[in-house]
Amino acid sequence: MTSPHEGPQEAPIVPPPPGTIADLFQEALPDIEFTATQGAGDVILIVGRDDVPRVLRTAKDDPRLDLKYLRCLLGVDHMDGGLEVVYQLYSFTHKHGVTIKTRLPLDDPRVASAASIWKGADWLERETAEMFGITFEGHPNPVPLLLPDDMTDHHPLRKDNPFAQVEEWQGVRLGAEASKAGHIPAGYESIAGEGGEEDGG
Amino acid sequence: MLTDQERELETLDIHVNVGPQHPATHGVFRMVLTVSGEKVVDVVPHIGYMHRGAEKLSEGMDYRQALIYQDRTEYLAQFNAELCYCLAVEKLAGLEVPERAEYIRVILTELNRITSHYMFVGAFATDIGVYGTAFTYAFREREYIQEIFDAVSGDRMMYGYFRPGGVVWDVTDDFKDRVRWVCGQTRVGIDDIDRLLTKNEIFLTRCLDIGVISKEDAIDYGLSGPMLRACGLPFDLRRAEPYSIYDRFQFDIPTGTRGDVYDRYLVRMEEMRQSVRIVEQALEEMPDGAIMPEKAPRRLRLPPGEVYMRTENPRGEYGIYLVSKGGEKPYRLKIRSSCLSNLTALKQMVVGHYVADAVVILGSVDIVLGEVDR
Amino acid sequence: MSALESFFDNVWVDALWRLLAVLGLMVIVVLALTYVERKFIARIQMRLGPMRTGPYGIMQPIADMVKILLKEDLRPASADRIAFELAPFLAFVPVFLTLLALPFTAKWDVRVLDLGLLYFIAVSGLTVLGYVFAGWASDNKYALIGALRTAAQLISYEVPLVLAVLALSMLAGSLNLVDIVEKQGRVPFIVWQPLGFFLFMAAAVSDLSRRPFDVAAAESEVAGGPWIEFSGIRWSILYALTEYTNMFALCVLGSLIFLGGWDWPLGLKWGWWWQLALIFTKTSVLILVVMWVNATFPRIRVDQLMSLCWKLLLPLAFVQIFLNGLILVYGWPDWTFLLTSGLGLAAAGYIIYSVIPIGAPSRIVARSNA
Repeated sequence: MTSPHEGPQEAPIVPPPPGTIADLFQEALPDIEFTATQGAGDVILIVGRDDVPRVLRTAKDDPRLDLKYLRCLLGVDHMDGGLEVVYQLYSFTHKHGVTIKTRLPLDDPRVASAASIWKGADWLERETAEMFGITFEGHPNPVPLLLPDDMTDHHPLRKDNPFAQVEEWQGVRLGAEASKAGHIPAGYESIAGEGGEEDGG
Repeated sequence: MLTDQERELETLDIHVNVGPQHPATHGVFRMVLTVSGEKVVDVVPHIGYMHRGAEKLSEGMDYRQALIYQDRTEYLAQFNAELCYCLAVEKLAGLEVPERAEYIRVILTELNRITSHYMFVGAFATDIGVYGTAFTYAFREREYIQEIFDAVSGDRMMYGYFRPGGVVWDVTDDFKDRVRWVCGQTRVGIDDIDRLLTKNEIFLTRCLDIGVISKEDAIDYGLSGPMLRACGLPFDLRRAEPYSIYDRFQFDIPTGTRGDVYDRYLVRMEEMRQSVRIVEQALEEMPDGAIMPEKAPRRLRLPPGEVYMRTENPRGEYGIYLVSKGGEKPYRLKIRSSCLSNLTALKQMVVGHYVADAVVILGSVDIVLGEVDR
Repeated sequence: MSALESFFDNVWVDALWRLLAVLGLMVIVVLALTYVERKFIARIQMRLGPMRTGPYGIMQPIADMVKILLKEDLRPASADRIAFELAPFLAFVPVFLTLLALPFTAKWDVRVLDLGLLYFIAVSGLTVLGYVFAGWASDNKYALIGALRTAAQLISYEVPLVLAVLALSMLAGSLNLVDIVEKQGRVPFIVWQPLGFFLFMAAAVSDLSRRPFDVAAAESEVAGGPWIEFSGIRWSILYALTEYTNMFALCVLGSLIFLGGWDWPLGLKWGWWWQLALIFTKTSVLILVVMWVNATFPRIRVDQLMSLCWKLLLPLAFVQIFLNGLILVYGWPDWTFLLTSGLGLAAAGYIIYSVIPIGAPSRIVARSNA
């Protein structure tokens, strides 16, 4: 959550300069729609949900790309923007990497599983599934990884999880509305309405 | 297919539960081995006993506070984790770290790598069955370095010393002398343990060709760090994707050939020596000066964007995927845990070996449950 | 003869007081060894060991003994009652019985048996029963597995032990321990039988279930040893008393038959105090070597344990016997013993080194050129 003065902002889409891995993807998969943007570190490719299995498979198998190393697989909750699954890939032979993202609608968070492509995706998808409620179709063993087996009713890393309320009074200037809405637990009223933070450190 | 005779003699497979309280002191980790006679047929690891929701909690903290969780996540290589986080924030914020702070960070990070590998050697030797000799040697050496950490940060374990932009306060005046002394002492200490273990026949028989994983499988599982380098792939993030000031130092990347437990041990031992090299070079070049940028904002407000910052932890590739949507708090802070990815290959490595080897192989993965579970 | 002397001449009284003396010796030795082990291993590990109970921790064994005596005597409800009660004694009593055949000096012994060496080996082999009973009686599948493993280990390693000792008795021409010691008046048998000594020590360390052969204890990392259900005094009989007494007995035996016992050098000339000093020193050296190995080496896996015994130690023991026989039959001079046995030991070392390849050092790549 941000301070009450601004809402969450999206990063602008900055097309990557020519000669990056985005071009290689375009060559390898000419019929797929990519939105390429230059992130702070890597090139980010945004693909549609249904294209994900083809894109990932090609990323691994195509010799120009050869992205055999799945570094990271995570989910992000963009609230009204839907859920997002992010794949971070790398190639040891070509020494290039890419971030592939796909958005999933909130009411239908399914995407194909990458566990058949990279063996390491198995556990990473299990964790993302239990934290966000995303269903990875075709996953060989969709049981929770970190959470207790019986905790299937809510997904902790979603933004609408109860913890979201706690965030509001912790640390940032509280607005009068927040204290009226009763979000402040008993005993903490003294810090309400002041700047929660001291400076320094 | 079993013949009739074999079917008569068929024995049941036993489920052996190892953990969560594990005498080999790797933390709360549980693995259920299915054992047929002496050989392990299946391994099901159960993790999550130490899950504390570090990623969710970080979303409620601002960027300075969220640093603290990195210590608690990776509690044996704390400076490495803090460095990764600080680099991620600095990349998005565009903060310029002063030279002196960079050198201090690198020195402390490499010393932390040494302490982490000492911990590994001690625990690993205990798993193999050395009564405690290697353990006490390793911890004595580690204690010398811990004293420096204590003097610098005020804490023995949860340092919280790095900040996005630099470090929180300057080091003590005798820092350089102490670190120089520790470097010499570490060389002696590594040799001591080396002499005790490396060429010991029993150690060799317990470690050679145990837990072998091929390079292709290692890449597929997402292994990193000494696990991957022991398979023969000389990939070190400090060389391949240099961060901080690592491109200024000369160091070698030890690589194994067989991908077994023994190579992982050798790679880590050699890495300690290389870390000493880096520290000595950094000590020579360390300038005086500021430790935080002059115009460092009191409240860090990052522009919207996302970054995946990865650093070479003692255990592998530790990554922070940071999503910022403006504001003072991370929108999403994903910790890419090196140990979690290394642990996914456990089944492949253990199946087919004896029960006693399962403990040894687990020891060679060198897991820190805080990082696996976050 | 005074009444007192004739009283002590009575064979029953004589046996009784000697028995009590050995019992007392054993208690003192066990207490001392617990302390020595902790201090010695602590020093190897750069620690101090017990320091608080008494000056330099001297009272630690007493404290341990008191603690163990005061512990609650637990027994699993479903355990086999008779076997459970019997197991510690079955393990301990044979070990104590072996002490009865050892001559500590020329005059101090319980009984000198003509078959003393054979008696020792035979009786010490009975301890296996104790472990098996312990594992069975615990009604715990892991205890049973551990007990069967221990039994396999102890029975297997009896064979090289017996053969090494047998080879030695060929040399001495007798199984009487006093004779064997006296035959070493000039040169201790370790000089003639280095291979035999190596086999004896390896088999002895395994017989004691000590590192590197403590697979039974390693079971407790994953499953459990045969004595997991035993606590308090039962456990201490089974574990501490048996092990330390066995260690003491085997080391005394080793110093008697290999290191020249109380006779070399000049034992018989200088009297009992010198003999006592000799035997004490030699036994201590062997005990400390056993403890040193315990503190330094990792443990080997159970299948490696078995193949070490049957594929290495046993053939070497046969070779030693064969060579001894050759030399004795053809009447070759004594130094041929040293030659052949020494070569045998060298061969053993070579086999160990070549079978286990020394690990290839890590290949350093990608030297930085920044």
